[in-house]
Amino acid sequence: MNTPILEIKNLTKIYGKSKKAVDDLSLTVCAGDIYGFIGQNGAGKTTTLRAVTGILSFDSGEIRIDGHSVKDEPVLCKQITAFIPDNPDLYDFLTGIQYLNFIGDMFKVPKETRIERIQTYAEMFRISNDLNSLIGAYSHGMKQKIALIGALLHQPKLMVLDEPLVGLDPEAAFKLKQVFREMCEKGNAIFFSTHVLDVAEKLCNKIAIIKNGRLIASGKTEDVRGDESLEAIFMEVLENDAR
Amino acid sequence: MRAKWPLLLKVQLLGLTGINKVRKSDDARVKRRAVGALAALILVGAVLLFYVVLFSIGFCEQGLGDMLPAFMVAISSLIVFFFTLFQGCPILFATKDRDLVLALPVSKREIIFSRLLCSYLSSLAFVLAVALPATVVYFVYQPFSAFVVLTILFSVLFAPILPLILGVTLSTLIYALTAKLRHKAILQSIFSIALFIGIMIASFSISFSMGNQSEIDMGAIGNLLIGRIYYPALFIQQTLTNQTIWGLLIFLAISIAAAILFILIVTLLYNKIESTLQNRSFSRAYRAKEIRSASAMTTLVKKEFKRLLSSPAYLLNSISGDILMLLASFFLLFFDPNLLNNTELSAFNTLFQYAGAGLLILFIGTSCPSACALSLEGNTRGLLFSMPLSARKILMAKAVPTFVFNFICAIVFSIFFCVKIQVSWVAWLLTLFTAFFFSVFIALAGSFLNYKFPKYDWTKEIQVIKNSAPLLIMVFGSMIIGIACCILTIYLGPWPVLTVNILAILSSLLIFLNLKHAKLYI
Repeated sequence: MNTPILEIKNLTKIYGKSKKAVDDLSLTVCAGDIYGFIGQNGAGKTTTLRAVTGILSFDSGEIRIDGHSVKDEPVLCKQITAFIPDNPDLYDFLTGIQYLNFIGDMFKVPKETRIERIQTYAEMFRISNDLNSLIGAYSHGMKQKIALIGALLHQPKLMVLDEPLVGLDPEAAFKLKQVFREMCEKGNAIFFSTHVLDVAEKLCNKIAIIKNGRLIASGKTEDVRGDESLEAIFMEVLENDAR
Repeated sequence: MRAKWPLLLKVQLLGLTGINKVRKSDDARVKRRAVGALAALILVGAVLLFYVVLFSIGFCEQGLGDMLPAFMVAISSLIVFFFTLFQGCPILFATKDRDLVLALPVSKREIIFSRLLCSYLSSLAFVLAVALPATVVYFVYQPFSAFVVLTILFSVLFAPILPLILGVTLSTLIYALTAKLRHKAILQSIFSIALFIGIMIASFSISFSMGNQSEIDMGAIGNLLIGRIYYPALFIQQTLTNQTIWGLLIFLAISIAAAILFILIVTLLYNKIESTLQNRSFSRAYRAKEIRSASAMTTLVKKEFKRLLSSPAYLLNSISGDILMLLASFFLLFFDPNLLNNTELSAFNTLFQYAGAGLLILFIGTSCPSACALSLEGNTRGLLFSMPLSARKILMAKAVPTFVFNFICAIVFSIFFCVKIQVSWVAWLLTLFTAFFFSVFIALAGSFLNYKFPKYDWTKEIQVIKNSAPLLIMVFGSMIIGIACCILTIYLGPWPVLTVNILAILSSLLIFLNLKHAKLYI
């Protein structure tokens, strides 16, 4: 399972004239990885995730998904990726099922597979009965669930998620973590940002810590944290870097 | 305690004008877009100035100068009313920043006042753009008088209040009545269009009931507008005619009283109105067999149609030209072609053989949802841009509803115009060509301009539906070309229309090829 799914090399993103949101960042997510991306607010996590999914241009460096360049072959990369932003801003004017069907059409998911997966995930997240209602009427958590089902619909090789557990009820969060594990067993990869260090510690096999746009620690979870808790290491790494 | 409405107003005005973004941003693209928006605004101002001056001179030349100020107040008030009606209740209610604002320690009265004031100021800018040049023309023909200047000044300052309040009240009522219904957006649009067409037809009925058709001239239209359709303008007319201040005072008193009453009532009912507007219809449970798969392009196009039909403000503002084409077709239905053979109108069909094509250009250009479709993605644009689709496909899909609406309405209008005006076969062909090629051009150009000048950071969708640079360029650009065609074809025959068609085809091709290299980033 050491096939690289996502390769980020020397990624730099500058906002305005000089604000470096991401500074020479490099990391690799391999097949089977659940890769946690940790950092303070404004550290550059979301910028990195958006650049990875091809929705944000970047100034230098290279991003490859399954060997394809995000810059040169954006459509191909997007076809094998799923992205869930931190705030599930979905189309309020569509019903849940219309939205999922829309995503299914976009990613060319065959009809039968689509029906089966929608049913499976909608039941898993207990949202089946609400699929015919407008998304505008959904709660934050329901929107998050619909966004997740949409992301899982085409079984992407790479899932990029920004704070995916925020807004989910405990049962849905538990099931999502199960889905993550199942996907990784099949050789897919998950790359997600989180503020919940406990989740990262228990769920991720690899972790990267970012501060002020620079990667300050990365690798296997047990290597990064050693004998301490991830929380202690996170605080220590940040403080050391500040000095 | 210090009033907080000025702070709310300031934030709203910053959002509306985008000044703050231009000042604070380091991004060169933002500045370029601001220059584009300013250029569009100047274009709009120039076109408006041209028409107002032309109309005012015509009015004064006919000896109707004393009616001009009241007429301008009446016409600009009606336009403010229809714009407000078509914007829908999101002026005051159900705004995107509702939760944020309601969570602030500020009274509801101040929230309502600040929002109303923001709409008042943007309406006032329009009324001033109409009234100022008209006043200058007025004083070229009439002797200067301080009394008249003050009367016009106060009339103009208070003119937007009544139509604004009436428009908001009616649109809120329509929204509230349909809030619980499943297809509320379409119903809201239908009600608003019905109201608009009803008023138009009622106005025409009144005008026809005034007497012989041939007697309808500018004076008759002025009297109709001031005395019958927009009654409050009569107070201004009386003030200027009788040189007594009472009429103006009554006008001001009515406007102020209406504003105070409106704010008091809405403050009392605010929570109820908001909760009514937030009513949602929950549907029966989902059944798996309802799914239908389609190609990515078909799905995108369907989504665009759904988006257009989901928002009455978007629909009504974006297809106003199409509504006018259907309305004109309706009136042409009652036009007797025999009039062209035996009356003074006999020269009409030879002079205006190609006017149909010119009118098409004008109407089609006024209906361009594609010019703001990309901007309307707003916060959801990340979702769309992360799809495995080329930017060209996304932008082409956004152009399709514009083409479909325009082409269908243009064909209907073309047929009615050509049959009733009895045009030659060359004019028939040119009109039909224009219906097709200009519809294609407007749809593509709107999408392309929006790609070049997107505005995603809106808090009310009306900010992009009504005021965005691409839309203003499309609407007023087409207006200039359309009217120029109507006039030039009288002297040059089919050539101006033919030239416009050829340019439209070439431009469409260029845009299509250019979109191949388009890239969409958040």
